[in-house]
Amino acid sequence: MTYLTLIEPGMATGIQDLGRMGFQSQGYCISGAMDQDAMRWANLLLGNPQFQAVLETAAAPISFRLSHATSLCVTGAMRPLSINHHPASLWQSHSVSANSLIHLGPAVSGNFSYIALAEGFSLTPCLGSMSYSFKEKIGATSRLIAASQLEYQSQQTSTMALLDSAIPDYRRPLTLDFMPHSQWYELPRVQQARFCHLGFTLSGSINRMGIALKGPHIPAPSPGIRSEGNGPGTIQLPPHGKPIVLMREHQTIGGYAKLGTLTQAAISQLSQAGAHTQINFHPVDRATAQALGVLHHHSFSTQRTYLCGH
Amino acid sequence: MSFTADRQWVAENAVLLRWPNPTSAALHQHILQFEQNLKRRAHQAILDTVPSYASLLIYYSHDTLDAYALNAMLDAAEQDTTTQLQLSTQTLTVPVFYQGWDLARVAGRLALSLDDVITLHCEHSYRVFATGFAPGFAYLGTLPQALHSPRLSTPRRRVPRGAVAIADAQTAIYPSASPGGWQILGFTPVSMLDDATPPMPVLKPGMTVRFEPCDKQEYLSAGGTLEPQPS
Repeated sequence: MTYLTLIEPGMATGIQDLGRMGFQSQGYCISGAMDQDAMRWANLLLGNPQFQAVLETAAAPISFRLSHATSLCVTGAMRPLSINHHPASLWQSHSVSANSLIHLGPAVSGNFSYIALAEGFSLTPCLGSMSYSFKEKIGATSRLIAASQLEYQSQQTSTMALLDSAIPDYRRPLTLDFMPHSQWYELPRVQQARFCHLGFTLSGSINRMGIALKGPHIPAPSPGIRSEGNGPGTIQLPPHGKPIVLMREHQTIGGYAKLGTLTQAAISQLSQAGAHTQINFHPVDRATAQALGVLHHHSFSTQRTYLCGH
Repeated sequence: MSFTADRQWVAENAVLLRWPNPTSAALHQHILQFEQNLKRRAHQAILDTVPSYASLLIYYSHDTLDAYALNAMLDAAEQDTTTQLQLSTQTLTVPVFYQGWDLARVAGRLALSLDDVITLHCEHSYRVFATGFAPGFAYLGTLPQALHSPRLSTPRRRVPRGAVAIADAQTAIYPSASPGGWQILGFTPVSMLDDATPPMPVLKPGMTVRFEPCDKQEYLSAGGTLEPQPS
């Protein structure tokens, strides 16, 4: 059989795609890849459909063996990659021979890496998605540990690289686009301005459920609301005045005051933020957010602009 | 009675409808009817819906329906009276072993006896207003005024599966062990998730729940377990 076998399992390693829709009222979150931009690129550089399931792993070292020849691409966090002990580039697809050992060192910047194989993994979706949800313990696989095996199709493709200028630098300060709504309009203008411009940093480590921010204290306009649905990117403002951004493994219902929701692209950007990354916010209306989303998607389809053979 | 929702665009692919009216079964029925009308008209473009006390979160495919088209669909769904929502009239009776970690504290704060708290909790029936937060969690209301209690100031790291708890005007059953800040009145051996893979919630919006006291022996023989209270 054709298997990827985990040797060092890394941290928070799991299969992810764009997530699971249709089960939030049953309590199942959308889940999906934290950085969906890096996930899409890992697939595109192999000629896969953008939405194909990939392996996501956090910043700790990970190693695995590939039983049969295939093509592989690793994107996301900046970190050393080696194929059979030879250094190899991220953001580029590589042909690998049978019985290859792949190793990813600790992340230097960024938090999540995406490992894609040509033709993807041979798995059966769970509730319409391959994504593993760590808190719900559901997905196309059970939790991955050392010696876990993932079946794939042995298939090689022509290799492609992303132009250096298109590779994201996760050390840069972030200005995150968000759509203001709900209790945002109860916030005095001066507090809105402080939220947008005074700058936040991460208050703890990044996890798939949510990200707590530290920075200016923003007084919550209301202690709570009647519990209602909320999705990934929701900026909650609990009574303590420190915003929390819900990430891919969001609660499907919550009762905290909310200031808005990050755009899809901004959720991906935030997922790669470092401990000292300066984070600001930029309000956009619905039409602008949708237009920016269309342009952002278009940047993935203009492959010739960004891709080169080698 | 007519209800009109406020619409807020809360994501590139989501709109949140919020009704300003007080929580009631009639409003909730209207929301569930609206949800059904919308799904019937535009199911190809509606990706997910999350109804709650006074809101409906709608995820839609904005490649299929733009904001103008969705607005038209929402208007039509609001006025649609062609089908009548048929909800399960089933009442789930949930046995509770009332030895919760916060029972005495709740009773003390409300100046009630333990028996008063139990009687008040059991003599009302509750509507499932929302399901979510985590799989199998159901928001049940409305709790009698005399039992309204705040959340714990510091949430517990671990609330056991089966804990029956209250917060503000709500009561709920924890479907699995999780962190939580609601005040625990007791424990039930009844599972809130079915045997499917992955498990699906037993309770659905619009269903009715009643609680009835059971003794330790009944609780244990029905599969309940006793978990020591963390210090």
